[in-house]
Amino acid sequence: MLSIQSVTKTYGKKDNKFTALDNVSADFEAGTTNAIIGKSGSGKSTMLHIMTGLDRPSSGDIKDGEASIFQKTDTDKWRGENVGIIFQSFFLQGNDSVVENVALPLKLKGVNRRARNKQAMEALEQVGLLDKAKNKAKDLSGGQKQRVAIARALVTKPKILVADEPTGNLDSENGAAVENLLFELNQKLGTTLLIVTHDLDLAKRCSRVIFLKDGQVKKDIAKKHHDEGEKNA
Amino acid sequence: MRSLDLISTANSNLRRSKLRTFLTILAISIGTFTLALSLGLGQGVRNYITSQLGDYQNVNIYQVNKEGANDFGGAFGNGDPQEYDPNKSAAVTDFSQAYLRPTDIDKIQEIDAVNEIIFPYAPAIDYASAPDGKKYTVPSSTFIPDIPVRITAGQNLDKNGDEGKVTISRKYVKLVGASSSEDAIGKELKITYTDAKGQTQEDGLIIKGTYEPTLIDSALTINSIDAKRLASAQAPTGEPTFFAVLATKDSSISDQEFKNKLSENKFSASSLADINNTLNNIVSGVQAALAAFSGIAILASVVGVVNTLFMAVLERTREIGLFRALGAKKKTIFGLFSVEAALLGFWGSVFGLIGAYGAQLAVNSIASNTFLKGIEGLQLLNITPMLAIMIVGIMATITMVAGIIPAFKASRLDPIEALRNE
Repeated sequence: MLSIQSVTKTYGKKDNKFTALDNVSADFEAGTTNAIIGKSGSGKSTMLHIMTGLDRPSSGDIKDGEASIFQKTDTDKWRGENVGIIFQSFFLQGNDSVVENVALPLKLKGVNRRARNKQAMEALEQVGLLDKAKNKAKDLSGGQKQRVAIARALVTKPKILVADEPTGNLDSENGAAVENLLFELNQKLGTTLLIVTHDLDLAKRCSRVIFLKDGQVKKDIAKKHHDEGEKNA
Repeated sequence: MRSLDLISTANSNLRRSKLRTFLTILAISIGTFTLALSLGLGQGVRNYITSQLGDYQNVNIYQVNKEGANDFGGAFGNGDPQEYDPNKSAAVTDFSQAYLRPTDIDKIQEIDAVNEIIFPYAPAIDYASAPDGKKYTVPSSTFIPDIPVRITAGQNLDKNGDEGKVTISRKYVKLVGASSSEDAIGKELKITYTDAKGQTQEDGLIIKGTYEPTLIDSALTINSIDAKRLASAQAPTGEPTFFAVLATKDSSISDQEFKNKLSENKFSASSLADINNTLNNIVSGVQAALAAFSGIAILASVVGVVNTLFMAVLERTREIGLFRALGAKKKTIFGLFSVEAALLGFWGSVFGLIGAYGAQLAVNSIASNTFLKGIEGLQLLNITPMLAIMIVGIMATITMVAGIIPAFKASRLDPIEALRNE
């Protein structure tokens, strides 16, 4: 379980002080699908950065189980092993092949070439892009690129998959395909899904939706079943 | 990240901005090229000195002369005035004062540390007449026992004997009409000299052996009996005079003690090993000066490395953020840029060395066919594999050190800021 405990984040000093997150708390149970929704400036990106240990809170803490991710010896290592991140603009290495892109997190971890390529191929199979393994990443379509990014996020078999506007740069057809893939993989692999978005339709497919406004949690709606969520919408 | 992955990733990063990488490597290779050539030149000359004088390293022969006899600066009075010091030998104001008088030679003989005195008679031979009718000059010297000689045919002279016999440089065998070293043995060398009265005299000497000449060998080596006879005939007083004599040291004392003993008696002694060392010191000094100049070129190229890396960090800001987001540690990012810097030094020095080897081949072949013709075995440039490896190691280390600041900057980038950078 990943738990956000009274996290506040402020930028600047005195007169220029800006509170991006104001005493936010939330627990994310393992294997659940969660959406954090809000307009731009609501603090949802800051929340994503802090949850993944890319940024530090001004006060409060993030705990993975019992231990703080910041007090663990190495936050980068924790992130490398437990969190997969998907970005709105994919961030693929255009000149590298698809399989090299997917294997990158393993390469950074120090896995040898043979093992990391094998695992990368397995991840590519899960997103249905096995046939594109040898292609250069820049030659793919937007939807394919995001699927490669998902494969890259999953290749380390993380507990948590964080998606930052995963469909923001895609047309509706490709966006839907990527969405379906994310939920499918959540079902299949049991990976906790955290989607940061301003797309209400996408958020509604999650079992839990947190509404952020001006750095504060305005609503926190949990649904027992996926289908029930669809009905209520 | 595994070391091998780190290196291959850093190396492929170099290919991203090919022109910039090429120019940076070019600058480093120019610096390396000059460094390799200056060190190679020193090495080549040192090897030559060793090949020429190395055999003399442990020869117990000292040249003994009056203290101050070599001190020409004071001797001619063209330096600053020097105060008279009764404990020092008088300044040599003309060459006659530098000559050893018979009393001086007696004094040397009386020094305990001196075993034996050898007189280096230097008879002046006007010319040698070859069977083909041509006349040749023959620089000559007296046979000195114990000095190693590279005999190519026949035998070396004996100590205190071999009257009427000489040895000759193998390059001079045509003076007796011989075509090879072996062919010259036993043949008579006809020489002509002028005696003290101005009369032209002729003489004949039999070739006992031939040798490979080194830097300090004369063309002709005459046995001590005939050398003394010829030198005496040429001396106005009938007694040859000496600027310096040769002495052997008693085996019970050290080289330094021997020199000190002579110095106490106002003589100075230098061994053949000293000549070797002096020459090597001069070469090392020149080499160091040349290396310092190439060091300036290298310094300039290193500034290029820093610049290149700062630009690379700027260009790859987003990628650095991504790497961090995917779990890369700060030290991995630092390592990537440090290795990239080291690789610039590595490739630059490798290409510089390839150029230097090319230059070495060209220069050595031109030199041995022109101004070094006749000086056997001198490779003017000698970049040894050891030297090459050392240069590559040094260059990679220097550029890696130069890359510390850009690499540190990269490792300290805020991953969030880096990811926003689009």
